[in-house]
Amino acid sequence: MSPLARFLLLRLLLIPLTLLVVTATLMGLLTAVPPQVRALLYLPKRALDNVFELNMDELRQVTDRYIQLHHLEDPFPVQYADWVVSVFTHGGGYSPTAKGDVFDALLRRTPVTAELTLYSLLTFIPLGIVSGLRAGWKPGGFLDKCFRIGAYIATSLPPFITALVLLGIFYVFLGWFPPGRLGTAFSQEVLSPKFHLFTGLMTIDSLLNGRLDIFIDSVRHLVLPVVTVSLLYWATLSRIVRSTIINERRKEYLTAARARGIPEKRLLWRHALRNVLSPALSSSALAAASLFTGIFMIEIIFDLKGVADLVVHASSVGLDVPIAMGFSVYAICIILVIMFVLDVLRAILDPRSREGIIYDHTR
Amino acid sequence: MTIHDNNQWHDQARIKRQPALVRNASTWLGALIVALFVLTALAAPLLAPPDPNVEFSTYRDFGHVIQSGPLQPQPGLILGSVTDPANLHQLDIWYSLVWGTRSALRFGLLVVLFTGIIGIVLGGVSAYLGGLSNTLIVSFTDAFLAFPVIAGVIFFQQFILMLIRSTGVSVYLNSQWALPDSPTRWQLFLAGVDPLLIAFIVFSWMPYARLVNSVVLATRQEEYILASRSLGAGPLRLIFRHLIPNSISPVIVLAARDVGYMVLLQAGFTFIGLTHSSEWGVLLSLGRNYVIGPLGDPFTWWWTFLPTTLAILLFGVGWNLLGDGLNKWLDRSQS
Repeated sequence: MSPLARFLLLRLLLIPLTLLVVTATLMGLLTAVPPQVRALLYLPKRALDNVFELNMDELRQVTDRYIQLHHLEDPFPVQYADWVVSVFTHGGGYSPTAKGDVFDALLRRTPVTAELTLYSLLTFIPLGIVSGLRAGWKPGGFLDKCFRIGAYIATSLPPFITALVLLGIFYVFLGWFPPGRLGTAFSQEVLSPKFHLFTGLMTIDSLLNGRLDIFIDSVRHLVLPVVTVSLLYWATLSRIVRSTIINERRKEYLTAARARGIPEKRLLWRHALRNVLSPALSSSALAAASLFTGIFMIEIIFDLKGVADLVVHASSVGLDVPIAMGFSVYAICIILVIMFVLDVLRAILDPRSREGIIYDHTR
Repeated sequence: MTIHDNNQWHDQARIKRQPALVRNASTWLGALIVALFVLTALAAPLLAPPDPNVEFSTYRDFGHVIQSGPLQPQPGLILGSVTDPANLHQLDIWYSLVWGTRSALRFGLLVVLFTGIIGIVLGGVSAYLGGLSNTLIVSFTDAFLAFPVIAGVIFFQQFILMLIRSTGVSVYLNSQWALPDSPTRWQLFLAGVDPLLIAFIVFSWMPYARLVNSVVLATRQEEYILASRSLGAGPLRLIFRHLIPNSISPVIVLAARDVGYMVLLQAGFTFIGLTHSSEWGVLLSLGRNYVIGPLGDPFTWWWTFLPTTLAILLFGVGWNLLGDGLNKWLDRSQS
């Protein structure tokens, strides 16, 4: 087997393993709760929607049946295995706040979050790499000074304050970029049967439907959240790129290439760039979880009705355990996929990382 | 085309030329800001004396005032008030800012203390043991890196609600619940637990473990450790007397930055309505309704959002500067 294939296979195996470790820990914590309450995870629609109407005896009967059914009084491995099976067969259980199966509800909201994530990644990764490279190529220079001030401001501003300032300027004063996902008229039209939803991503669907006006409106609504997310993560990424390139600059291969008369531009964008990408990608993989949290906060501040809105609402309404467990599983899956993609990219770009230990991001 | 001359020697020479006070200006600024917050927190009962006739709260209700909009700064109401749209009561901003400093500092320090201890113990022990145990503990750490804090917060909110429910208390809509007339100790404890604090501790110790792990792995083979081992020091003594104390300084740098970061995250989670844990976050989420004044003037009600924003920003910047300064100092004392 080629080293790349072996790397991919081993890396792929880590996904279920990580899922197992984290979910087993969460379920293990839940065993501190008596089975009578823990049965909430599995109760069907009928029982959960009418919790206040059922009398105590009826509720106890239903609960007891589900404790039996899902082995809630058996040893932990049995309980855990049953939960894993139920996640696959019952779609994560019934959520009384989402009024449906947890994973159905989460997946229906996913395109909104995915759209924000996609455009943010496409903005801040190239921006972070380019600005970090330019700044670190001549440390102490004018560009570097500007960069360091900019990065400092960007990292000191918490996202909710950035969002408030941006909304104040670009929405209240200038009226350019409103919050929300679409204007009122368009959001009605999008729901009508005339408008086909192909991907759920408004920017793509509007073009596929040949509606340029909806496309422009959706872009206008996306600008501010994307800028806020990008500001937050651009600085962290480009700082890593900058410190890598400062070390890389003194390496012999660059001096040798320079001595052969290769122009500075080519040195930077060909020779140095390739060696900087690997640490940048691995740091991004490490930051995937924090990116996820940040995107969720920003999504709520800008009133995009995505996954975060659903979950935060559910959590503030009251007891909705299925959605908490389902959201945890959902979040880890997405983060693992992002980490996997970034690791694969790194393995393709940097042959050294395929040979080493499979999971070394920092060492 | 010139060959770049900023090599290491040159860089160091340039740094040396700056006088010490200028070089460390940002560190002192950071320390000053942090000291101001600590003083405010300590002097909170003097700066914002609570009303002895009412049960203590970090919010002071200035009463129900029939008036559209917040009250401006005036004697007895240093930074004015902000209107709570839920009940149209006026909240004293200065009072909550001051008591919010106390709870923010407590929150940040508690999170950092516990994550630090968990990280140091797990990272240190796993690096000392080495081999399979190290691989297992490191994989466990890495598995938790794939878990976002926001999911952890939601999990623990539900977890604690479940525990409360299992004591026989019913949980109503909007996660409201009331303690029974004679609560048990366990119920009182659950009522005081902040799910956010637990979630932050359980899901952010990983950087500390990784840091301590890599430092201890590097120092494990140094001669003074080997000497101590050959003198008959046991593993516990080696880990807690030699290996961990020698890896503590980078942990302190990370911790200093984390205090600010954790408090900002707490304020952010409060701002989006996930909890009410941070007074600053609550103030800002109320103040955001007044950013736009009549005729689009953003400064009509400046006191509702500007002081809070500044406090939050300064808190983050202060701890960051302090952390950067400690880091610089550490680098210099090592080389």
